[in-house]
Amino acid sequence: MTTFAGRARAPGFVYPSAMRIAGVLAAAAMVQAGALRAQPLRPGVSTTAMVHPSPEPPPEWDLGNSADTLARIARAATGDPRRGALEISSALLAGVEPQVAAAGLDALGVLARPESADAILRFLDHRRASLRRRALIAAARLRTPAMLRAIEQRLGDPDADVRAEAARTLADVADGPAVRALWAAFEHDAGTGLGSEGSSLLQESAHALGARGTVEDMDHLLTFLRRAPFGALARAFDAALRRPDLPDAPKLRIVQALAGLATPQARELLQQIADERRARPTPYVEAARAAVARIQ
Amino acid sequence: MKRAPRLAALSLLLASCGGVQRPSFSLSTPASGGDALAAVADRVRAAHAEDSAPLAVAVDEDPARGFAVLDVRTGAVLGRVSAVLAGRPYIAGGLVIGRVAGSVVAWTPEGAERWRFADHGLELLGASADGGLVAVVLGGGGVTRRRGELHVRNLDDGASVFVQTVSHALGAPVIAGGSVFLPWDGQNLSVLDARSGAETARLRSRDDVLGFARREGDAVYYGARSLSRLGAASAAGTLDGTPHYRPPAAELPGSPAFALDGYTALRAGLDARERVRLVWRPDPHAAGVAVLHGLVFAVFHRDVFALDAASGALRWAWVSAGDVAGLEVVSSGLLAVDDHGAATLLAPADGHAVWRTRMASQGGQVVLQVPSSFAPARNTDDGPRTALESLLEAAGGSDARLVPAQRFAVHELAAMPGAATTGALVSILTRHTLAPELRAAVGEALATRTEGTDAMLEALEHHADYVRGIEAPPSGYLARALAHAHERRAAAMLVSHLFDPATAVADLAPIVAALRELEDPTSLSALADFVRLYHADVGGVPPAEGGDAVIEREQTDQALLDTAVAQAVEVVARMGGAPEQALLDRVLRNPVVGPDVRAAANRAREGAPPDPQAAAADAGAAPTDMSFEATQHGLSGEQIETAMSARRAEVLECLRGAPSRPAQLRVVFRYDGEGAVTRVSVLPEVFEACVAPIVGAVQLPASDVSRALGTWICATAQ
Repeated sequence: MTTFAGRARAPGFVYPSAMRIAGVLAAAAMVQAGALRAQPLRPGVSTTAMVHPSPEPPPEWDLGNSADTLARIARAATGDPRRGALEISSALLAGVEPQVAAAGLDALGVLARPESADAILRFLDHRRASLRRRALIAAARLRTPAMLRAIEQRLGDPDADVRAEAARTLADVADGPAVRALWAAFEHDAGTGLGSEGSSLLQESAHALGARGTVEDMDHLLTFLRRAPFGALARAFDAALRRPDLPDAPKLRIVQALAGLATPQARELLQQIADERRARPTPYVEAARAAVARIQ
Repeated sequence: MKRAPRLAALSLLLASCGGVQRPSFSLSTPASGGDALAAVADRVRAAHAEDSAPLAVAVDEDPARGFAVLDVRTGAVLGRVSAVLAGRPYIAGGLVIGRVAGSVVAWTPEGAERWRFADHGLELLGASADGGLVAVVLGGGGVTRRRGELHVRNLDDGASVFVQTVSHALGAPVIAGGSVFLPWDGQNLSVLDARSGAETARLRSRDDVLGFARREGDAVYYGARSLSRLGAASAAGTLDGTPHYRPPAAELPGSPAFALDGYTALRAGLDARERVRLVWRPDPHAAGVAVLHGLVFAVFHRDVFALDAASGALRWAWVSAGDVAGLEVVSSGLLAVDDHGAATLLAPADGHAVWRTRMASQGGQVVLQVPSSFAPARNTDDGPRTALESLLEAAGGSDARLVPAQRFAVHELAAMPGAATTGALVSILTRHTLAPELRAAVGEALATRTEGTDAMLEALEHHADYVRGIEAPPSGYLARALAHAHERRAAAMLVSHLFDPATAVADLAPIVAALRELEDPTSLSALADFVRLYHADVGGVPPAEGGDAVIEREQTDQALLDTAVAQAVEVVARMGGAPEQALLDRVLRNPVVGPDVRAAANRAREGAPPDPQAAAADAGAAPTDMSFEATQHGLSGEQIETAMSARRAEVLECLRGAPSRPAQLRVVFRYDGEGAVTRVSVLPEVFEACVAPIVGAVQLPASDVSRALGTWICATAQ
């Protein structure tokens, strides 16, 4: 059975490529990631009185030696966070090989320091889509308004994977303006077809809307039933139903709308809802269970 | 006319009838003198030109489905014929004359067969009627096929007046004033008595081809590459000695000849020669030799360009909704009928439609017989339009067949001054349906303009946005143009596009070069950042999801990026100070830096000129010499196209049997100063293995570049 939430990145993302690049950095990243797993997302960082990195290599860093630079990034990521962020950011702005840049961005994401902002913003516009994706992930860790606006802009990126990554990132951190940007992305791709799943941007923006939208957003999403690919909407509803901050009433309306569809896919999703929440019966879970019994 | 010459002509005529009797079309017949030809012209002038009803014959694209005869004024069908035409029909004396199954047949406009005679296996070349007689010429196959028949018959019943079968190539006839005018063998125009067939006069060209004869009003015209009016001066037999009109040389789409080859029969239904041609009509009322409205019209499928007959300058353009199937010049304008049956009369001054009607039947070929006096009452509200507006229309569109016409329109637009024209070029350039070769033509046209930079800046204000449906502007071309115009306001916008991942990699070098030319000090830090960010940007990156490193950049793109970085290195070295020199030192120390970037950094550190083109620009050379990208200071697109086209057939063989045939192949390669081609890449990639060795064997012309990138777009349409 398909798990509709299966494609979403888990909150404790461990930056596996960084592990491949250098064992030293991998160990550092795993330490950091382990710590991150145990914690909710950090609150937004303040950028006041922030020191900006220099676009010159940190002292004694030989950026022409990638192995050495990777090792220094690893050390910087596990030392003093502020200094580490400055050093890594300076190295990235001074120019490094792309694999080193990837590791550096991963490390900046782990450090989540405001001193990283310049480097992350620069790499959000990098010509390599893979580095833009990594920069998006790092940007989301900072959660500053400037970063959110920069992430929103990547919803319009020329690369489909980067667009989807931007939406996926916003599922964790979107504020009001970002939700509006997600709606624009969702509505753009809602009519483009691509079967029952929709584009990756549609799926991820739907999921983000379900995860970050208001009650009104949930009701608006319901108006897309039968108009947008069900696979994308299912991810939105699944995310919405998992939210503890969302009242039961909109959740019940979602389940009732799905029950009204009475399609095999709707039944599958309702079954999943009922099964996963068996121990926590609520009105919408009961409604899902009843609908499953009713839909053949 | 003077009496003495007239008498001399008469005595010559009598001599030819009585004493030295030569058969018509004899090669030994001497060319007639001026008096004899003047007498012929006088007879034509004295004869009353019969005004004919405006008729159209619409032949279906499948000639087996016959044709319809229409009244041009109303569009009504007068008659239909279901015969299988074997060639283009003609209208003569109110009859439609065509060739079917071994016969030449004359039909009334209502579709009734009037008469027929055997064609003896020859093709129908033309027919002309006057004074109750019709002259029909059979032959075809070009001027080298020396066999033809001239039939003169009664128009009413087809009874033969005379037939002449000759071993010569005959052209289409004109009958007027009791004479038949007939070009033959590409060199002669014989004047025959329409009743006896006796040759009464001979005109021989000694320096031009004779391909057609045409009656207009009270005059007979002849020519092939030029237009002359029959008269005493025609006896000279040379263009220099005869008043004539010759169209100015112009690079027109499809390179149409002044007149169609009169010795080759046209096909029925659709003949490409009628879709790409020049259309004009002699003006017998004008002094000397002139064409009506002083305009020559160049037709290219759907496009019509009105050209000044004297200068060749473009006056206006018009784009038909369908292919132009029939076209005729009349005193009230230009009458066009398209293959969907839409008839439009265009004002001669600016080409706006003054009259429209819908033909009740349509065809891929519309044969028109419309008197010069045709002037229907205006029935449109269309207002006058500027040449700019009409050219903008002609330069646009997505019909791939029209690219040569669009290129011509762009060329003409480029020649027009003014900011509005620049705006028009920018609007064309930002159309994303534009064919690549046309985009290049527009870009080149824009690059030399200095007026209207606001339109360019406005285009640069936009950045690509997938969600908002905005595509990246053609920043490379805009950069070149803005640099040429020394528009410093562009610097910040160009920097923003330099760092926009949606900017095409091929546009980066032109942007860098433009920033160099603008010499805006604020762009130095941006260019230094660009060097920092990309000088070591080589190799693969592991995906965010994990896994092996992926080289996500094509070799060609990497080369283009390196070119841009190398140029930025040179600019930074020239404009910068100590910090920038430190950056260059670091670039040189980095082992992964590509050869182009390293060479640029070395040159900069040693104080050598950035590159030959930059040095030339410093010395005041034309900005178009700026080294925006390799091909622009090496070989021209035309040089590459010429060299590559010689191997096009071999390249197209690579597509044979392919499950999907692309509209074009994009071939990118390196070449050196001696013209050797290396590192060929081909898109779609599936054809690279086959195409690359062929292109790699091409010898390009020598140039002054040490190494450069070239691109060849190979259209795959046969």
